[in-house]
Amino acid sequence: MPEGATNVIMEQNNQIQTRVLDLLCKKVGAARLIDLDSSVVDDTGLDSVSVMDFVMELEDEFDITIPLDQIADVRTVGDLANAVQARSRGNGVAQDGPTGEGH
Amino acid sequence: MGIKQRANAIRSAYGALQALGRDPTSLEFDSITSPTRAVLDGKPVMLFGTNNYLGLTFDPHCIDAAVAAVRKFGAGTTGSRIANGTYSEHRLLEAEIAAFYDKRATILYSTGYLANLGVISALAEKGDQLLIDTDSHASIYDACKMSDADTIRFRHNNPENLAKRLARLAGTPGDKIIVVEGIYSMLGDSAPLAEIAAVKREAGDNVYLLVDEAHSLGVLGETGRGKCQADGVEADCDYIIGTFSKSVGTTGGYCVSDVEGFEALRSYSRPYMFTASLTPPTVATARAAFRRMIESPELRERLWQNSNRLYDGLAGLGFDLGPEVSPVVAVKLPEPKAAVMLWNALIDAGVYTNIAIPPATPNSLSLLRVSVSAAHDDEQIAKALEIFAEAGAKLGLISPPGDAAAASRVA
Repeated sequence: MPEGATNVIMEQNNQIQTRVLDLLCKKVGAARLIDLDSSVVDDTGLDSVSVMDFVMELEDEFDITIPLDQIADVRTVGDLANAVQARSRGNGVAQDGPTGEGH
Repeated sequence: MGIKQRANAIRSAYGALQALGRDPTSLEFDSITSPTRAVLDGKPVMLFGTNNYLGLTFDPHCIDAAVAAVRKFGAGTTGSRIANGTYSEHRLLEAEIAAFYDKRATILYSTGYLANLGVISALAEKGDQLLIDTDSHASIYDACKMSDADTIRFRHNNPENLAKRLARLAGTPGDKIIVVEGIYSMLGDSAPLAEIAAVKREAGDNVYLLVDEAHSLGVLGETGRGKCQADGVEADCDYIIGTFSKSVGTTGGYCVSDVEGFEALRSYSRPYMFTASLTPPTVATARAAFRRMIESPELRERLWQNSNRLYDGLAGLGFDLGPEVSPVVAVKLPEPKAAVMLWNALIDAGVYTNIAIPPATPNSLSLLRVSVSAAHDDEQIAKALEIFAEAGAKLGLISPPGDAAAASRVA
């Protein structure tokens, strides 16, 4: 892959990570410090239903589909950003799984 | 988290609430004397938390049928439907339910929970997609977990959001199964089925609609078939799930469908194949209860009169309620502690309701779930409202009686 294309993907990944982090910080409030290594459940104060609701917000924000079983593997905020990135459409961003096809 | 750590985590999460009074998870009735009366810890209570919508648990026809069946066929079947657990009565009940819905076939399950588990997990396989309402019952979530299909949640009672999610899946292989409920058990609100059916129709041939009518059977629709009937979209509802543990007054579940090949589920739906079938008295009770439901539409009328009275009464007292009048009247409370305290105070004064706190509730709500029965009389509803008024005012959840009037005079 040419170096330019790699840079584009890295830039998109950074943007996704930043956006996911921003949205999550907004959801849990300013009282908690959250970064990409934070645990989505232990460090955010969100219960399991709230995490599923947040994933639904991400689906609408990025216009993607993230099936529930994908969330089971998510531990950190970084994992969540990776799940979003894997499901994002077009522009060389990796696609993954049955519902990622055909976008 | 290990077994011991998990037990400790549960204890610390609920211990403080249990310390406020009774433990909601281990309540024990000494006796039940009618569909609306019981004895709890030696104290008589009125039952306002039973899902006994038509009050058929003590119906003499149902009881007589159960007694006759237990004498004729014995107490249990000791086997699953695919082994020794299918009796003529199971087949008769399936045929009667299919005739009631005017659909091709019915498959019985041993509970409503198992009906959702068995049907959803069998219909949707790897490569398919289940689209479920966020407020779905635990049995629907568990069914999705058991299925190898992808599960996608859409916003509660929001057909536009469902359409958006279906659009994202356009062109992908696999069947799409939309799963909704007729009346949602926590807030008592009903699904906009006409709009949801329209979304389904527009989304294409490989999109199916499954409706769980657990809380709407016997409650909604001209003949009590549920929300699908009330909204005139029964032809669009490919699979209708129901339970016997609410309006039917016993236990058991079923799925009814017109879809070609539906009965193949009998050979691969594991919760159908690998659990004991319904006991003979249960089957006989359900058959009698369906007959009562069909022959006595006045029970449904009475249920709605009672629901309106209780809903309007609680709203008039200043309680924050679920969005629509329904036999499930949800009283919203500011936090779990307030819900536990009101729940205990009501029992102390003789009214039993259900308590529901996060994570079992949508949007982290703390609720008292008050359910109405056709068997409640006017006096019981008036008394319950009086007790709600006193307990609510004492806990500072509503203004004391007279305050509202005083406030409006000042205004």
